[in-house]
Amino acid sequence: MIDSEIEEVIESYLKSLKSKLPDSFEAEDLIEDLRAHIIESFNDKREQFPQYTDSQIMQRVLDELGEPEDIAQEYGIELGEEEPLEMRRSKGIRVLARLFIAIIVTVICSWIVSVMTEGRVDFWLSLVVLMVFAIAEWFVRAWQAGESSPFDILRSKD
Amino acid sequence: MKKTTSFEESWKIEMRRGILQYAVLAIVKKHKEGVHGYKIAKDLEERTRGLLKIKEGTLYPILHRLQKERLLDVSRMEKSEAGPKRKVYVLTSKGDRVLRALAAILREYLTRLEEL
Repeated sequence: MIDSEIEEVIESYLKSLKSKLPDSFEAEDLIEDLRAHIIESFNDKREQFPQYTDSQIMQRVLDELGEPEDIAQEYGIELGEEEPLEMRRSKGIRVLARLFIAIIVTVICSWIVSVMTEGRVDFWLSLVVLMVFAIAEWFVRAWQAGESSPFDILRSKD
Repeated sequence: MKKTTSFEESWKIEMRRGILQYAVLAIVKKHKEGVHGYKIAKDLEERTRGLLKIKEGTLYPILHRLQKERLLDVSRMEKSEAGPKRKVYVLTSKGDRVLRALAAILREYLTRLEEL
């Protein structure tokens, strides 16, 4: 039999862990496994160490269990959620659409520059220069977003 | 004060990850009738004489991962003496095959390293 004070300690620990895990069925399942583990460990230790108070025993149980941060970190390493395939596809389509639009805009801009300067600025030269700027800008944006290259999104994970 | 980790310590941590997964599979195999998480945690400490003692909570993400990889299966939910139901894990046939393969890899590594 576990008293309400001890139950509160368990709930507080599990609540803290829950806040560090993703909102998923798998994480809920992990929390239920830990709840069973805590109660079993508590009852086991209560039999082994009758000289200690329930609070002291629960403290030891939680010490042996580890910090919620450590468990959440292990969860991230072992079960790091992969981005759903649909979301990756959607991102890939957006990247391709952006590439297509960038090419169209660059061609139009080069044509306008060439026409406005009555051919003094060569269309092809202007196209190459604008393309270089567009690619550089794209890489800078990818770097800012923490991707190693703009094409990372197009590569699907195995 | 900033906590520093020696090279040996961080190397040990990196090595332990794979070894732990192997040890969990080996422990589950020992229990033909199935075993629950709490017992696995205790066995990890006792059977390895403290070498693979872990923070018990970190065992569960490993169990979930091994289950996700279909190396372990939950054979039943068992009512403990005074608590919620707990999962009883068993090794799957894939888990058994993987465990034997890992044991062979480990043996090969140790043999080759001793020859260095």
